Amino acid sequence: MPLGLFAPLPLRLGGSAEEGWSAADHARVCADLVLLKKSAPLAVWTFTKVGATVTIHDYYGLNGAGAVYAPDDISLIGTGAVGFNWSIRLFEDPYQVVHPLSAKHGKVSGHGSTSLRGDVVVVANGVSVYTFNGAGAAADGKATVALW
Amino acid sequence: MAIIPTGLPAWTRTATHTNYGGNVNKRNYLSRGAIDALTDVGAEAICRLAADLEAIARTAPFATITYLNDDGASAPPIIETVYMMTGVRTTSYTGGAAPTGYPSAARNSDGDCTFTFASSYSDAYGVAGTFAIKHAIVSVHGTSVGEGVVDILTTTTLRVRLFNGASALQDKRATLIVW
Repeated sequence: MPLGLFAPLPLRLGGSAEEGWSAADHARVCADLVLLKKSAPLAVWTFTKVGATVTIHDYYGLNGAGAVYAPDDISLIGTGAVGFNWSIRLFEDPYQVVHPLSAKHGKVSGHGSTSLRGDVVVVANGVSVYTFNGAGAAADGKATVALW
Repeated sequence: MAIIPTGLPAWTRTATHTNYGGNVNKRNYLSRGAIDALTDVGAEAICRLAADLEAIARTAPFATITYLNDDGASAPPIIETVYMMTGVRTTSYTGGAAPTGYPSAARNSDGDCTFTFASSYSDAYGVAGTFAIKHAIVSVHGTSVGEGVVDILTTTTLRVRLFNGASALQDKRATLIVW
């Protein structure tokens, strides 16, 4: 049976722009997808720390969107300092292909109406975040963390 | 009749691999793989593409904006470059006169402005998806100490304040990333 005619898959590249998928178009999809994968953020979330209470808002990650995918091992390091770690540092895609999550880069940015800056320390299972007020003193607050 | 893609645009963060043609039980017809790798795309490749696209669509920024406060004239900031999921603009514009489809920005005070996005955008196929700001990061440009903070006011408005090393509001150039 000819592929791509009566059989759904494997798909034979070619055909018209309206009913087919050319090799050139497919190649562009592959090239762009690969380059996007190289630079896509690993995860982004916003959190609020007030004393011993840390709340994560709207986690987006390559591993999933929502609280169930966010770092689940949250450690209080001190004022303005909190560790976000995945206790099981594995990403399982929809096809049960598993690979470890591994952050290499991090960035934190403060929220609010007054100065709040932040630093990150990338660790084995996640990231530690340190936030400071305008005077350079450790301070709790709200911030967004992005990892790559 | 134009095709309507399945699912919603990427900025809604709702797409799954099935929207891209993936399925955990997907298989090649009669379990026969691709005969020629140069001409055929098999179920395995479709599923990998779908799963990876689902993943990166979740974390891709909706907009990356570099702008310059224009406090000398107490005017809206100058939006210098915008990379958005819905378009790229490399010609600068005044925040108070945003081109169709791009965010506007209004000056509040020195180093302080508010960006306004639309509540809905459409993709290349005309499928509309609700947009709601969830995360934002700002970084200051320049050779002197500076920093910025964001404040998500509503689902479509975002206030950004830029400070100098003394934590005083000051006009600066900055890059804002919004999810």
